Amino acid sequence: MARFVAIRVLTYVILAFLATSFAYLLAAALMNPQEVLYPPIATEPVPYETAQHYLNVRNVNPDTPLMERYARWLGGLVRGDLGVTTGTNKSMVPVVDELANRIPISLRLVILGTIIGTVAGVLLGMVAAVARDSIGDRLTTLLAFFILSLPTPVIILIVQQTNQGIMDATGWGLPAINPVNPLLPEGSWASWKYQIEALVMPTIVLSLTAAASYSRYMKVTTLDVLGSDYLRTARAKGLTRGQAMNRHGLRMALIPMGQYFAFAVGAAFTGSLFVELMFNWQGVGRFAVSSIGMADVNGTAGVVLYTAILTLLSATLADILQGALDPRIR
Amino acid sequence: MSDPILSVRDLSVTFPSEYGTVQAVQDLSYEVHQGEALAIVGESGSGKSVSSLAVMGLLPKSASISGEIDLMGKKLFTMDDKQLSTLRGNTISMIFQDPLSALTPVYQIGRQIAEVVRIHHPSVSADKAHRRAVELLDAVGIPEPQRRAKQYPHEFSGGMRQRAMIAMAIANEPELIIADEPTTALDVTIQAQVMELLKSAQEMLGAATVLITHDMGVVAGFADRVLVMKEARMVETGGVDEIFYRPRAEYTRSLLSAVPRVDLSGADETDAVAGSAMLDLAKIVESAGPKAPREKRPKVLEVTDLHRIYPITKGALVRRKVGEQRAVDGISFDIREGECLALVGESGCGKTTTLMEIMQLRAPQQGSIKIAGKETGNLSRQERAAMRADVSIVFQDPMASLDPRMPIADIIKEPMRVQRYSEKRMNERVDWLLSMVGLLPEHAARFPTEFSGGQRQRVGVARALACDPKLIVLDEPTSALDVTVQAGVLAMLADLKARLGVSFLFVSHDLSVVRHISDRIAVMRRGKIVELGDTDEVFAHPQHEYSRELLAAVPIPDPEKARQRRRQVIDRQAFEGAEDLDADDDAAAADPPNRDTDGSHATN
Amino acid sequence: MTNPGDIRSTADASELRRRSDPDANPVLGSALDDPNLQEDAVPAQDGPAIESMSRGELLRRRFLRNRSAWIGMIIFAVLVLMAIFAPMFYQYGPFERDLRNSLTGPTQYHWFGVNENGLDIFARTMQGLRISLVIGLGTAVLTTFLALIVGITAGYIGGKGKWGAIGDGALVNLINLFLVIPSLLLLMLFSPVLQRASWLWMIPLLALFAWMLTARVLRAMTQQLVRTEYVEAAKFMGVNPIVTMVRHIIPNIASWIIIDTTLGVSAAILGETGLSFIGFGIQYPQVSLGTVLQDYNISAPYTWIPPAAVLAALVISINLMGEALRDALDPTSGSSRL
Repeated sequence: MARFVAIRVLTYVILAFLATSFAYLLAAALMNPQEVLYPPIATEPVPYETAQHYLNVRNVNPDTPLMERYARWLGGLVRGDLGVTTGTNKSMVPVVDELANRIPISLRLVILGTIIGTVAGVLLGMVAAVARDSIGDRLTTLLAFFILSLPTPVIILIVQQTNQGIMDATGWGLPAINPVNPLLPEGSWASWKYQIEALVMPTIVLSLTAAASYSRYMKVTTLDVLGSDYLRTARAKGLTRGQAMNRHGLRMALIPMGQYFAFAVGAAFTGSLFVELMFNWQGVGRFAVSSIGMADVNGTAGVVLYTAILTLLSATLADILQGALDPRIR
Repeated sequence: MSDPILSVRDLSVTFPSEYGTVQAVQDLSYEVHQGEALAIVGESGSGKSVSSLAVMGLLPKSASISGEIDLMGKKLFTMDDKQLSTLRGNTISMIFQDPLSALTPVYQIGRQIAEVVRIHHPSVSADKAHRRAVELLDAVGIPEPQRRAKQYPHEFSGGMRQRAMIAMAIANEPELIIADEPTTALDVTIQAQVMELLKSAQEMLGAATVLITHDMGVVAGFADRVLVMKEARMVETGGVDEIFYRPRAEYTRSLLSAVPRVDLSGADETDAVAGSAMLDLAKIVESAGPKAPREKRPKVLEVTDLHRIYPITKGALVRRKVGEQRAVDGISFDIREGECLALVGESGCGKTTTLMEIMQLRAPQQGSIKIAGKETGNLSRQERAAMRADVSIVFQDPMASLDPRMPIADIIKEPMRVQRYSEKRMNERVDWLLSMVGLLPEHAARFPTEFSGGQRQRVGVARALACDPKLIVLDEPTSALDVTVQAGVLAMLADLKARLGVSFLFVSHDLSVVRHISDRIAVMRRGKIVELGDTDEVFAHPQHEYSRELLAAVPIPDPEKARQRRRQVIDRQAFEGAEDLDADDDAAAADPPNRDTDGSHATN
Repeated sequence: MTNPGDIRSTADASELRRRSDPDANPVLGSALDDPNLQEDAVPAQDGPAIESMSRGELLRRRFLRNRSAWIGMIIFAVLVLMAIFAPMFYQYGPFERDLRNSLTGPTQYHWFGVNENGLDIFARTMQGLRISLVIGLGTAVLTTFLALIVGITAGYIGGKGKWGAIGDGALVNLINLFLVIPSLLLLMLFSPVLQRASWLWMIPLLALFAWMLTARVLRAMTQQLVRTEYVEAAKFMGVNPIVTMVRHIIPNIASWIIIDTTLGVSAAILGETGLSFIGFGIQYPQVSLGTVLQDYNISAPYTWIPPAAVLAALVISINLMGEALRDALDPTSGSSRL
């Protein structure tokens, strides 16, 4: 088991490294952060020395060969330094600091959304499969079908509009912008209350999409399990339908779900990007959009590294789960 | 006689399907008494399994059931799932066909057995239930039950899994045991042991038993009474002797006569109907007339010291060799023109690997393969392509060996197209080939799905014959077919051999199937040929211990003989100690080398 | 972009095969084994009882019997017709500003209303529908093509000796690499650069990050088919591998490919609108449904509800057809029952 996980983790680390390197090289090759030094952005000409210094400090000098810049970036990566933000805005903040500020904001969303979505999806999918063709099954399947047919922004809009409608009607609603209220004193009860309330709608959005796809997968695997020989054996031993499903079926149905879980966190990141944009959260997703928008090479690479690590962790977690559930792959 | 344990009256089961309702069981009635063994026999799709699942209350919800099932005075159809579950595993228990898929893969065997005990006796502690599970594993003849109880199903061999299933079934000393094709997935020597175990278990518990099977041989040795089913209906029922020696229904008669028998050569006399059609097959073979003596005929295939070794590797990133599996370990044999050599052995003995090595037409890892005198390793590209016409193959599964999207004519033309036959000649040959294998030329435009298993296998044979091959390799050509169909296909093959003079390499796990069709037999075990000789000689005087074991394990569809044999077996070994053949891997080392034999037994 | 909520991936190759196979369910299997298929002792007589019906015919019948297939087809046809003809006669163009009426609801002149910038929402929605349709269809076809090449190659060469296994391993790792890559971020990186050339670059770009799951399933299916006895038989007859692929392998996965392509259209549309919504997709002077949605205003629901509804109708109609196709191929699968 430990060996199995170790090998898988090693593979993931290699893949994550390749993905990040790939992203860095692409960003460095495609983006032009030096544009900030020339018109129309720069209003007056920048002296050559100053320009060179500016570019070198940020490791984005187009005169330095790409591979050399990459090597410098890698050297920084080994020391835990991801460079500084660059791009068309001249501020120079270490990417690590920027990420450190933003990750807690994004992560609470991603983790909460994934967990609630997965659990709800698994439960709904199983119920839909066991009580096949019941009203509950039809409703779940129909709802999942519609949610999966809508892009995330539309789902967010529907949730926000509903909230707005309630607010208009009753005068009470959930906060639709910002994860924290800067006007409230930090650590106070009101501030916590605001944070929790602000989390509700984004979490609903992420959980809905996750639950919709999970319920579909779970229904398929559960239907497989329901037709299996071992479940019949379990019932032949004297377990009722429900007992057999709980004791033998559930664990078997969850095994293939582990694989899907590996992708769930990546999906949650994509979802959180829309959420952060539309709820005005200063998270990693928003940082990604602004980094790419303003040609921030180091920032972009930093975001890619973050998502790669996220995927790596969730894939490892999925492997561990699968290993724990299934003695055959240990 | 006492009251019946189980009585089934007018049982009918239907399933909805796309083509309308399917009648799976129709008006079935039977009774089983205490200590009695009833065998329900039928071919695939006859409704025999469905009827027993109805007794267990395990049919899918879509099934509609009518009739009455009475288990020791309880009307089963009036009970709900919860009430039924108190009976299942306690009063009735069931043994399923495929022990791999029937055990939950993620729980230890011991735990699964202990579960049965604890479901019905919740007061028993987990510890005690586990001890009981170990006891039961010991009782069903599993060595080292303590250690084995902690293992998972995938660590058990097929035979051992079925033993574990039996342990589970007898855990609560049920009144009724239903065994649904318990040995179909097992090798013949394992099958004999499992049936023996089942019989002993039944006698020990005095339970009524319902055995569901397609194999008349198994029935003869096990059942007291027999019920024959065909197409959802009961055909005939009666005592085992009555059915085997004096069948009334035409269907029973044809079913019995189609069963191949390992114990009968042409001259033997018996009361049983079983095997009579196969004797006709022997006549076809003999009627072929005198042939030139074997030595005078040219060699079609010559295999010398063939090896095929697979490395066993470990590690995902850095692969290192941790051992090797000698799938084929130095075998030699030859086939002369117009001859049929049967390669017989149990699963995993290397017979399929041998066959693939021959069909590849490439240089083997070690040793040599000569086809019609030419070494396959030295062929040029063109020569190899041309040689594909000389060797062809018929596969085991007629459902899988024909592309479902091609009409029959295209399937048969495929090899001819490779050999660049003209369109006209291909069309002529398709008609001729179809009539050769007993189909009609009109069938050429149809798709494989429109044919039954036996007919598809005939198409497979027609394709193999398409380019006038010198050698046809038959890979278990009848093992996926029902027994009555099998007899027809075997007769056709024997006929083709006699008429066309083509040679066969007939691979089979079943000695009784090759009894009449083969001229010579090679018995294979763990990559080696342990015995090679004339068919009659091998059957009459098997030289190698393993051949004898194999012969003794084949069930004989003759109740009298089966009873005699059982008495001998019981004298020899008590079943508790019975060693699982497929479990001990070190026995390979103890394999005696091929003995020196007389003239008819070739030495390798 | 890889949307793991992608409806397509529910169907795993093995599952698909297993369920359409009556043997997989032994209870039903034995019961449904058509009694007419029993071989009689004399097979020469005209035995087979199932009337001649090819798989394609069966598929078509099952599809046309399905109510949701019809609903999907009708909605889709209406939307396509609207996308073609509506911009031709509608009096406003997608970029014509009517600032006097900005932020007004639907009227008889502005059918869906006008947004903050004075742009007519109906005109923009129809124009966006056109672009989204073209991108969806193009991407789906290209995705399938890419997946077909990688998947079939990997599946076919996997069993062909040492070098085949290495090649297969390399392709599998390529698939994994693309799955790990945060495709949304890379799309955001590439898209603006390529858009400068032509908005049609969106098609190959989206396809480049969408083929992996399909390729994985196709690889598994091909592996399974290569192991079947009829492909083995073709090999032993000396049939050329490429002929085998065209004659035996592709026809046997064709129906699955069609279904996957259909559902791929909706996945591509969802990806494109998402990307355009955050401003990294279709750029001025083109409009996509995503760009139209970008101008939403929560206090004026008509700014986003009409384009969202059109988008939803489009995706739902395609998914309805795709799922009906899948049901037709595999009637026992419950995953898609509505």
